[in-house]
Amino acid sequence: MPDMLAFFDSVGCAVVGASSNPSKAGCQILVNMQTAGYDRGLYPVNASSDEILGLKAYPSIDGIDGRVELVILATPAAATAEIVGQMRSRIDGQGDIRAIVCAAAGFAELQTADGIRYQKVLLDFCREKNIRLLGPNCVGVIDVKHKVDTTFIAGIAHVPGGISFVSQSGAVGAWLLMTWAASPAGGVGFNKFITVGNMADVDIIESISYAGSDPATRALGVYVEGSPESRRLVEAAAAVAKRKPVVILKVGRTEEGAKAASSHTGSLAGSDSLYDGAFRQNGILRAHTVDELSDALRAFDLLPLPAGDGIFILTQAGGPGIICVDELASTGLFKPSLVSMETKAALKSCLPAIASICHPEGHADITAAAGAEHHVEALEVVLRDRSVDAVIFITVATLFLDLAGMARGMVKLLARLKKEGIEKPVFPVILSGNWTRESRAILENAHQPTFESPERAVKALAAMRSYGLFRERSES
Amino acid sequence: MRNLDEFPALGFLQEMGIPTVDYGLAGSEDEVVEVAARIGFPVAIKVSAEKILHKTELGGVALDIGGPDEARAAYRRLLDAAATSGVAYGSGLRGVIVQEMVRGGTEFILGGFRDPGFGPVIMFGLGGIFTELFKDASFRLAPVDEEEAGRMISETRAGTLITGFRGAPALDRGAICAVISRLSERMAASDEILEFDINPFVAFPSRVLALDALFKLN
Repeated sequence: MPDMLAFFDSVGCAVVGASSNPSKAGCQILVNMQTAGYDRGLYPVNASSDEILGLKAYPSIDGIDGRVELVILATPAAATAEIVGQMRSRIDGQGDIRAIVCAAAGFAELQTADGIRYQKVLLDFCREKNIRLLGPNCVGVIDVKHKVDTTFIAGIAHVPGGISFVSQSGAVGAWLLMTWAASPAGGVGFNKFITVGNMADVDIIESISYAGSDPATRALGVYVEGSPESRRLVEAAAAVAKRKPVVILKVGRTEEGAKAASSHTGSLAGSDSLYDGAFRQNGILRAHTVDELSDALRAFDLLPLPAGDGIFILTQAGGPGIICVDELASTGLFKPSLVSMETKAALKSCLPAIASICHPEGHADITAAAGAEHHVEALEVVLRDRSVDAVIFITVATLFLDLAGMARGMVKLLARLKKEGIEKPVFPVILSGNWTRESRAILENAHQPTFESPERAVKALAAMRSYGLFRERSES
Repeated sequence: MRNLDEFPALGFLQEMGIPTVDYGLAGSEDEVVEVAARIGFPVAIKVSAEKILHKTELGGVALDIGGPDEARAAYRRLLDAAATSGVAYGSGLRGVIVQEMVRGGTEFILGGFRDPGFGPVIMFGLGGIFTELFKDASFRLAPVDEEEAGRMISETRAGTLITGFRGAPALDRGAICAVISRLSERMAASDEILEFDINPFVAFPSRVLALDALFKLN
């Protein structure tokens, strides 16, 4: 059986059920393929139109004159037999179809005799002709590098990056992408996005292995509700986690374990503690919310792993700094950086007189009297200290603080330090709301992620540290 | 499928090289005294029958038996208790287990079972009577090496007891890890063991002991 490449590198794509009606999935799919920049031949198929969204439309898939390697189905499930007939006659002539994304619903997920039969007809055809099938009932795939977007999610920003995401839920995938599109920079870079739907052919496990083995994937995110083959799923993710971070949002509970066992041990396994244990055993990180998943993936993609557990909190405001201290302590993974006397002296000389430096250790409150330059200079001093492995940088926008200037200064500083070989993760938390979007966009456009709150920054940092520890022990 | 209650389960553990409490089976008052003398008083005496998995609830356990007369009386009492549950010689009663009376130590639970999706899994947790209340346990897919077993322990609050909680001496962590690892390897190597509990599994500063266990074998 061919691998999943056919979904991404296709030459020629037919959208069956294409429509110029913006309220139809068959319209949004075309829009997304165009927005993604698909330039290898896009063919709307619709029996009653000659042209859709400026593209020549075809009454049937077997009438398309160009090469068609990918077919996207956005037609009612009841039309399956007819469309399979068209694809069969096309295959027998041109032999070009390699992959089908069945976005349409109304198949086996309904658990009706008709739905199950439609899915079987489609799957049998794919098996016979060696065609890979995604879905049915899935949102499809996106590959920014290959300029493919078969989804009908509106407003996706196709920004290239190192995050790949594999989802058992189209809606959670859409949620993540729409959140990213609304981020200050107007997008978060990603590589591959795969939703698996009914998993008639391609399943979540194969998708994890495939997206994980893609060299362009630097961090892999997974949303999974459950798999009867939970051990294989963990093994697939574990194989990826040996080389790059894997963050899984696992929902639902494994009650089967409890039912199968009559011992104390079995009754203690009633929750999803088996997933917890299996993930920890294999260096797989577990997120509990979509926000946590997103933050961790963005951090993994763009920031270096912290080399140790020494954290410095550089804050311009008391309260958010204390929230951050509490949150760091609750992870049990970190200690405050014990910076040198020289670092303390340098902070004292570059900051306003009322700044509180290293009371407690690993924490400097540069106070609301601090201007943009104070933020940047203090960050430089702290990052140069050998005891500092990561910095959480918190500021609360005041009317007189030049946020954009501060962000530009930080970007320049980080670039300069990188040239010197000083690469440590910085977690900027610029509080808060629309007022801070410009400065956050400046940072994010320079590939420096920003975070919504101190708690979220700490969670992302903790995920990085956990993964760093796993890599240290598995490589030693 | 075969259930091993305490007596055969302890034997099974010994075959695997896992340390258990010193014990022996007795089928009469004289034998109880004989076995107890060999082990050394004080002893614990428990009803032994395949059908009886929870002995305490039916009065099937006598603790801290200090001498021969006490042992004889305990034997008669336990047989009466068993009889009220419909268990007697000829109808499921094996006899009584006489065990070294273990004092002190910290109680943990070790367990394993086969999950339909995950296959063989292994567990470490807080043992004794609070096991089900606090549900303080961690799981891994079997097999695990001793290092991974150590991380299982560190994940639980019970693990804190091992490093010497509130001035108590540290317990034999290495021995616990070795037992977890050995059991997990046995779970993974074949499907012979379907499910087991070792509860309590007692740890001391320089040794560990299985006091009671249940196994379900294929």
